[in-house]
Amino acid sequence: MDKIVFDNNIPIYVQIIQEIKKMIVSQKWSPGEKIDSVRDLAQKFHVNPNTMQRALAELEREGLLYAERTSGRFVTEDSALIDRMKRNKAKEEIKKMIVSMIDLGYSKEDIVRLFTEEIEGGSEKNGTIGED
Amino acid sequence: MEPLVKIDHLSKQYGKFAALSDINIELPKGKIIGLLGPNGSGKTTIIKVLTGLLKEYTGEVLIDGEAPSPHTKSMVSYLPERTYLSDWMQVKDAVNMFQDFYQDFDKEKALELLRRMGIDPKQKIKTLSKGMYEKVQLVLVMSRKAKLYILDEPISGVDPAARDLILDTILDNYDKDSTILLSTHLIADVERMFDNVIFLKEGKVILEGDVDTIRQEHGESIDQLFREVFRC
Amino acid sequence: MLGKLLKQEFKATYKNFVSLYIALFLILFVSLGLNKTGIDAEFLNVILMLSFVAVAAAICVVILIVIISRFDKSLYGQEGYLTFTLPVTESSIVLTKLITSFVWILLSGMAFLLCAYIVLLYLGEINWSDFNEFMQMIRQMIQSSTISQILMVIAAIIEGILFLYFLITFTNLSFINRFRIPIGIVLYALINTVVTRLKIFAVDKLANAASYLTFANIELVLSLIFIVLFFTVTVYLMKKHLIVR
Repeated sequence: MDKIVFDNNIPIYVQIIQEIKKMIVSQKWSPGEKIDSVRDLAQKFHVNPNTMQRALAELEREGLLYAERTSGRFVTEDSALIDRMKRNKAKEEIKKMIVSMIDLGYSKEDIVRLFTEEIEGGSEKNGTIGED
Repeated sequence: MEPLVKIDHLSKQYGKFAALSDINIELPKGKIIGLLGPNGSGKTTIIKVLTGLLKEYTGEVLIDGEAPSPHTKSMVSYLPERTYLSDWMQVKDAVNMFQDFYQDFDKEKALELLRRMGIDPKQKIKTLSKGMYEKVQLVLVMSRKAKLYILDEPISGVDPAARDLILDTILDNYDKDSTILLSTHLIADVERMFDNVIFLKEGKVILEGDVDTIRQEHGESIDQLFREVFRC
Repeated sequence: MLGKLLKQEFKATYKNFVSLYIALFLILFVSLGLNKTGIDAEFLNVILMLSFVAVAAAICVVILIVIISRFDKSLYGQEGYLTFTLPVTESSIVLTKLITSFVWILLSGMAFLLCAYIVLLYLGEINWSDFNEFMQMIRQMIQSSTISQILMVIAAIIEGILFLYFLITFTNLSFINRFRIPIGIVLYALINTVVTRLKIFAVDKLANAASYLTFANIELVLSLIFIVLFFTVTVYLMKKHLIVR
């Protein structure tokens, strides 16, 4: 796992939660898969085990992880929940993008057009971007 | 749970200079705690009292219920800021010495860590570069299963690559029954490791608590908060 | 714990002495060997004699350095951070230094005696069978009252070492920031004078009081008193007033 750069201005456990959600959503952590112990995860993330514990506890509370007393912690198998989260994350990212584009001065129509172009690999081939 | 360290009304005067004024601190078990403050704020003095290097003070200091003594020294693993190993030693002499004096020392672990860091046990201490020496001292200290680890500036004077290795070694050694007290001025690199922090200014505690709570309350990183608080 | 401390201390000091002992005996045998071959090299003989004396002097200097410097460095220098964080009592620390210093003095003394014996042997003043006679003489000495003279010498040496330890510890207390060495020297002169006067006074008063109160016995007891005194005060200062800078 690549080393994550943490923003010290935001609680670390919050950032860990975001990172783990990404892993779950992108199936890097599969549904029902057993996850590493708190210690091992803390080592992988290069964080304080207490912080990792806090993040995992929160994820458990949200239902994304569940703990079985003797066997450890597992990713939820609730695919509906995962899909919901995936969609929420996507919406977040899109919202962020829209806000940045509006900041740059683009109208809603422009945004849609540019977005479509980009998705279809257009602007790279044409070598133009935002030249209007 | 009973805190591992209880400091009550600790004060220390050097002539007219008050190095510490009425310090009251509790260090809980299983936490990594940052002791932060500029030079002269009293960090070193507190550390010296806890490690038994300073005997003249007023107030009460208890480590696992006991005042500093040869017995508490067997519970405390101390990494000083300066060099303290003798010139005549080879690295393996230092390892053997730690094994002799500390029952909680894990020799295999120490040798393994040294191997991983690429340090040859037969090397003489005096030929080690500063960075390698810091690593050796850290390995010795962290290969003990102590109740209290006191690390004084473990990463200053060390290149960034080695810093990560050192911080990881410290994290790997975390144990829910032990406490790690880390004193540093390189806060940005280290703050994500802390559970709690203690800000020390001119011999007094001016801030302490859980890092995430502090981050949320002040809306900024510990490093930035530190700079603000200690702006000249 | 004391055993471990002793092990560390000897490991730290043996190299200096062993190399000097080897040099001493080497020069001795070379000189004797040269002498035997009959080479009449007055110049060479003088050189060898001088270097022998030099090495012997070096051994004496190293002993003094070991006593003072080891104590000062390993307690009040950088190494102090190690010494005083080891889980050992202050008494064992002082005792360890004392024992190692004394052992090196003893070994060096024996080395000198051995040299002297070898030279006498060589010069034909004595021969191999005389060794038995020599042992007999030793046995006689031990059985006679000279035993308390020997003890007196030993006690005097230990007292001297502990006196130095006390001075070093005292001059390293927190309130003495500068002029440590001058203060140490002044204190040395002062206390030495007082103690000597006290001893003379005591000997004077007691010398004729009873037959078993020989000079050696009185001196021995006085040394023992000061041994205990210096040891206790040094350990007390370390326990209560230690500061490692």
